Amino acid sequence: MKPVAFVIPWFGENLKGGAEQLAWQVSNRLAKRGHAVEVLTTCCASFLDDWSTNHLSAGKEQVGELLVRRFKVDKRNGELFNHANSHGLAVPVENLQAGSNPFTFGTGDLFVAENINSSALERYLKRNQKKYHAFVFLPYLYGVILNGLPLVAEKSWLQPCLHDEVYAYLPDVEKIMRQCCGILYNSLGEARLAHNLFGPGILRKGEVVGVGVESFDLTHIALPTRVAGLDLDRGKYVLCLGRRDKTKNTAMLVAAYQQFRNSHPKTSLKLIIAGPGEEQFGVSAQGVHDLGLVSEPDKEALLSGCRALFQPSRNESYSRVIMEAWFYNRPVAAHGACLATAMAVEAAGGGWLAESRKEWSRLFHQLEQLDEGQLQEFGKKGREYARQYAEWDAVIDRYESVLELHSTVPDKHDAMPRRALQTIHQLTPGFAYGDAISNQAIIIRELLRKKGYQSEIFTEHLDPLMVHEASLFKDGKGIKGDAGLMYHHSIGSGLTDFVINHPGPKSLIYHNVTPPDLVRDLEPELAKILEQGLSDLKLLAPHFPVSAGDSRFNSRDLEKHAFVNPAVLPICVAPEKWNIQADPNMMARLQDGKDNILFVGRLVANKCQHDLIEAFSAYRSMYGNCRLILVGGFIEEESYYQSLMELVRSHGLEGDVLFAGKVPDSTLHACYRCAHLFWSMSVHEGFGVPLIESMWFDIPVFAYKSSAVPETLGEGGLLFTDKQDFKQLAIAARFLIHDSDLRNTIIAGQQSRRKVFLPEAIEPSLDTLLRGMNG
Amino acid sequence: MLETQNPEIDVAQLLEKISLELKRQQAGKGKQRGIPQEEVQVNDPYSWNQLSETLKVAELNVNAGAEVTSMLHYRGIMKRIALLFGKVTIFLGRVITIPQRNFNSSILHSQRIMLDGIRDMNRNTAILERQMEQIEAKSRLIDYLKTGLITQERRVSILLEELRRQVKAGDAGENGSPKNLESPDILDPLYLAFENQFRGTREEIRERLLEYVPRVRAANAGTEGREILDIGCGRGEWLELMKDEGLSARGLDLNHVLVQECVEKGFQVEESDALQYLRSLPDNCLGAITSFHLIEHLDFETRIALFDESVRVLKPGGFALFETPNPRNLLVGGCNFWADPTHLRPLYPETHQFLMEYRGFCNVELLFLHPHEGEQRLPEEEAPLLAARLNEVLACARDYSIVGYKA
Repeated sequence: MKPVAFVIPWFGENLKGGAEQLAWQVSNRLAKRGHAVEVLTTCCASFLDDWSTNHLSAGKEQVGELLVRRFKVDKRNGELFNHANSHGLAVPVENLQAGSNPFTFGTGDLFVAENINSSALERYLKRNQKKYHAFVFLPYLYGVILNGLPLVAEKSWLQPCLHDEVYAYLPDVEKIMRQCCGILYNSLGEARLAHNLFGPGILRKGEVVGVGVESFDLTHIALPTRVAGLDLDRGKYVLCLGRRDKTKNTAMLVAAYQQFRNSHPKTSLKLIIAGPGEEQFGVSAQGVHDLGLVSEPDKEALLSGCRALFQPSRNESYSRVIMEAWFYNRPVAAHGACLATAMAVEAAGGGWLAESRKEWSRLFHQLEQLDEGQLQEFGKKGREYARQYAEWDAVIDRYESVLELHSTVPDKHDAMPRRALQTIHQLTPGFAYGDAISNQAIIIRELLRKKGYQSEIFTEHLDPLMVHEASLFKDGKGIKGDAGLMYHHSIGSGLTDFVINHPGPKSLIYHNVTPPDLVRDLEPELAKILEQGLSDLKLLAPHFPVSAGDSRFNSRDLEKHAFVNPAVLPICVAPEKWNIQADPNMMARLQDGKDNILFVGRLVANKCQHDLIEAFSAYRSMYGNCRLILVGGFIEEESYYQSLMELVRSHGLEGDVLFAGKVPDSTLHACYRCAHLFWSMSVHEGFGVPLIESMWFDIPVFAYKSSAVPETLGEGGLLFTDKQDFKQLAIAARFLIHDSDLRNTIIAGQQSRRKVFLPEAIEPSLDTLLRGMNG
Repeated sequence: MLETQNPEIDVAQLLEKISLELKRQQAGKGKQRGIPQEEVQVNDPYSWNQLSETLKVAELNVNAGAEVTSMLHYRGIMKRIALLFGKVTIFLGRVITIPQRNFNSSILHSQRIMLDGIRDMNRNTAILERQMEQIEAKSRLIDYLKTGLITQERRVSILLEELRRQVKAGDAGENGSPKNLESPDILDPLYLAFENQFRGTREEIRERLLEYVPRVRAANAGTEGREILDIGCGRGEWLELMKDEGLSARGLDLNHVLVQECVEKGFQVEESDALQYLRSLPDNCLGAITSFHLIEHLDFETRIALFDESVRVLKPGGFALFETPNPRNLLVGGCNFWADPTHLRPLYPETHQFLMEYRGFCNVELLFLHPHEGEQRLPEEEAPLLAARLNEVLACARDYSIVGYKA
């Protein structure tokens, strides 16, 4: 099997730093299991050395079972880099917003261009990518990674070691997160952070692999009792271990300790700080001992004897020392705002969370009150968790499976059954950008092609933006008589005669026709087309023995129109569609602290945007600081739009209702990302794709119970059965947005519901349909 | 009303919470905690919108040169060619477009910051304007109260005077007032001659007085029921000017000869002491009181009494005007002032302003008049700084007027 390559700016056994250690451990452990593993790195010695100097020589080097290839680094302008870096660091953390670039005025490009880069390594990647099975790039913020990954994107896995810091908001980081074919996370918290930053588009290609920690057999090691000239009083000190710099928050911890000491002067509890880095803390503060960099046995001794380990950093993708402390049965305190560490501590129950200095200071006091038994209790829980998620064997198993290192996967194409049809085409009345039926047709085409069919999409009306996806229907040109045909019916069209007369096997997929009565008053033209759609359905029924509705609601509709035994083929709503950059302007505009209430759907009377505006007005009058975003096409002259505008004016909502119109996917992406509630008042939905899309974006759905809505929502979302009292609805909406328990429960339900609409989930239904067509 | 298939959600409990909140909302209706109502409306929303709309247009174009337009109006091969051509252009243009885009975005960013700043400033200005209005209203009220207070004070002092007189009369057992036996009447012709010598010709005086006419008209003085009283009318230059302007005015003077002369010219002039005369008038009966080069002849108490009486007899909106030599001009203050043997002392302008305000006038203004011009000024060519400095104190206004209005 071809080798797996780990790409990292610096590599060596004794390098400090989470990502460096991780690369060393994982690559060596994989190699020990007999996999061919290489490391592609630079000649720069370490993070702390000059990034444009080649300390080590270029070329191949065998290190144990590993093959390490080193490449020369490029010359760089360190001054420009520092300028760009400090420009980014000047942005306060609380001002960082997902989707908007804090490296403004071109400093982002400078940051990447003057980072640690190696053109030699890039050339090597480009020329030799075929020789490798996969590339694992880590960590996320260096030039070698940002510029290297796009060159071999189809084979690349990114192990970002992502932190919630300014670099994570760099557009180049978003680019590689989107381009890579898989993402390896060290912890659940890191994965959560990535989803917050980049949306659901990257959801399904991510995998939490965890990080192993060497477990120690305490009985066989005699640990030192003095470290750096300091007697270790077992259980009398709190330990803070790790590299110290501004972002690691150590200074805050020292300040919190001093605050604690000021209010409890008689305490015997000390604070011991150890780890590399230039900042010094021990000099001025009483009771604080700064040991600097310590040896491995000293570190073990410190860990085993501490009262607890405090990890105040807000920027961890994974904290190795937390796991290590747990292996020694010691409890841990982590920063509540750091997703990675906080989620682990919370999930394990192996310690406490604190955020402000006051809370940390209180924690010192609290810690002093606990007896050893209670401390052990916490430590044991942590140890359980660490065994599960931080034992190397389990972790390396996960790497093997994610990177598909066992070449026993059977080729699916060989198992393809014999069948009558070779070609199945699809025919749709319209084919437009962003249209749910068109997207469904594309997904079905891909599934058909995967199954070995030749498959194209033909349409009567083709959106110029979509010419690469479908062809214009011209009297059946390109559709042979013996080809299979899937006809998507949703609206009256000129295709009826053709599909009735098509001699080959065929099936009809029904996407619902909006009842003409719902729109007749305001849109008589549309009503006529819809009426034709319904009357055509009666004509079509006898010719389509194989049929499906996209929901049970629609299948029942088919039955009413004399179709026999229609199946259900749900519309596919997969999150990968959103693996695109969200419109940065819209992202910035919508993240202004207002409650964003969203509805997506064309502005038509049956979608009841008028009710939504009324209810929104009630919400606004009670709670203020909110915005209603109506995404969906409209024509300005149309009376419904005019009446909505009038409604907005009469309620004085001008600044707070946003008629976004028909928007590109990147803008819709931004709307979903920033929305706090999806609120539907619609009285008629044949399926309701935006309901599912909202679920992928973890937006609670609040919808009027009508037509196919309850069926689509399943256990997701919250339904209301009457819309008489807008005030009451507005209060419910308020709870959905601001009551975190309710919100989390709803979202949990939606997270399970949304899976039903994945392509792999609808494949069995498609197979049923295909069996019918194949006779 | 609510439904869900999610078994984790207790709908009944949620409904209860909602109805509680509804009650709370209805109870607390008065003290809306929601919308931060824009209390102050910022003016001129039209140009405001225009500004932010313009900025929006700029924002739309901030990424100029970053992407090829979608070339929707081309089809087929033409579209491909157009796209290719566009891409090449964009690629080559990057040398310029990248720094340009950075420039665009930095400028736009600063514009946005400024816009926010201006918006805040506008709001603050509007708030300030509103506060200003309130202050002005209060100030009007204070003026009004001041007038009332002065009236009271005057009444009290009259009463006191009366009391003192009665007490004195009781003590002396005498009747009547001790009339000044050394009547200054004998000096009257002398003063007339003096005036003719030193005050300037009638024409000159008339010329100088002309500039007061607009003020008189603005205060609507000299009209029906708003007569002008000129105290110390002298040769009647002012009365004459008023007559010519069609304004109604009368005069007072102590100088028998001058009064005689004025009467002969047909002006309505009385020989009377100013204070006595004013005290004989009812409240709110005059449109203006003028007095040119009189108050420097009066002692302090009389001047205060003159102010007090003037405030009383003026109609609201009416004014009192006193012209007097300007001691800031060193030549006047040090020398010319003393040319008139009946002058008591030069009057310091701001002191007077203060006194008038203090005694109940509003909007009290100082007008500096009649500076030396032309040859009388030191030429500035040779030693400009010195000359300017000297002109400042030697050639500046020779007279000043102090004008106060009744609220």
